[in-house]
Amino acid sequence: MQIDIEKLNRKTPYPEPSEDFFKQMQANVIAKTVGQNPVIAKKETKVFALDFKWMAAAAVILIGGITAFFSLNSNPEVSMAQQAPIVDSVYEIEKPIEKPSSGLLAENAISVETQNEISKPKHLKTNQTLAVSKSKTEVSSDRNMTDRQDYAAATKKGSKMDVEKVLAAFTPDQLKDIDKNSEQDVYLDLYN
Amino acid sequence: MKLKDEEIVNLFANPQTVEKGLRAMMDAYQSRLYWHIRRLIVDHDGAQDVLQDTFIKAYQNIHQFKNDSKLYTWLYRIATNEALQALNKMNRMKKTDEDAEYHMQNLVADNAGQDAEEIQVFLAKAIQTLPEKQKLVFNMRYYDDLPYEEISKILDMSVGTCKTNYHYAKDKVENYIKDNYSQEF
Repeated sequence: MQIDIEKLNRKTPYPEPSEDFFKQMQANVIAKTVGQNPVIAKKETKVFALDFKWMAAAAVILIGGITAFFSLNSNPEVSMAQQAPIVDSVYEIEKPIEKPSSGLLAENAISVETQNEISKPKHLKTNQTLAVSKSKTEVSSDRNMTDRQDYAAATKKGSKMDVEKVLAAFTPDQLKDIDKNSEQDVYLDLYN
Repeated sequence: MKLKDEEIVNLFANPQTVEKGLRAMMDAYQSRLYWHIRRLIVDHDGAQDVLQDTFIKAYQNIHQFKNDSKLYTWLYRIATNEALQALNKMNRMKKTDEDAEYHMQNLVADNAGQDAEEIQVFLAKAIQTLPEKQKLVFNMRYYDDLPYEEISKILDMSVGTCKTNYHYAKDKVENYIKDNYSQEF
């Protein structure tokens, strides 16, 4: 008996599955896949395209900001010490007094006295400038001090000395004028 | 309306349309894959499990699918691997000393429909006597009418090897039917 399977009806001998079979199978697959990972609607985030120009501008602003920040945050005590002393500027404004001629000496005896009084601060000036420069060197040397308290005390001393020198530079009349013009600070008194 | 393979794959790209894509893929290929698996596993419940696993695997690995091959070729490959794994598992779990080939032939007889032709049952039994590769090539060529090029892609073997396997399988099946069919009738 010769059999050619190519001529046979190519049908599987097993019965067709029920109509619900594929529905049930799909439900099972969905439950085990998509059902376990429900899709959560994500908020779309805005994406900004970074242009080279914008990046460069941002970098410049950032560098400028950082430098400004550090310059503002520098130590105020050190910056005060670096400033030119007030005493110097006061004496620079003063005009040099002309020396009177010998003939007028007798007539202006009183004026000589006053000149001496005025010229006193001139001598002081040299001393004071020396003192200021001294205090400058003190300040600069103090910068290297590791102990902060010592450094603060030294700067306080220096500033007190400066004030005293400024006050000494004024004549009593000038001091009186200044005193008249100034108003008394009530709050300052409270703390004194 | 059935979607094209490319449209189905594109649905998987968007999280909002993944379920739609999965359903479209199952609608398109569930029947063909079921029968492919059923011919290998024979048992309906076993085939159902393997079919489910096939679609779950496809869902999990859809990102690996390359559009240069056809979707059904890729799905056949997954289904074949899953079916072979299930068969190996069944053979390992079988506690009796019964021959695997004999067991499968009995399973064919048990699962055959009442309206099935006797020659078709003999053909199904004959297929169970074939070696694994010949069985796969024969089923895909004979029942699914797949071209050798597609079979070679699914089974990762050359077209020539597929043709040789088919002809060997055909001869064996015909001889089996000739020997056994004539004995019974």
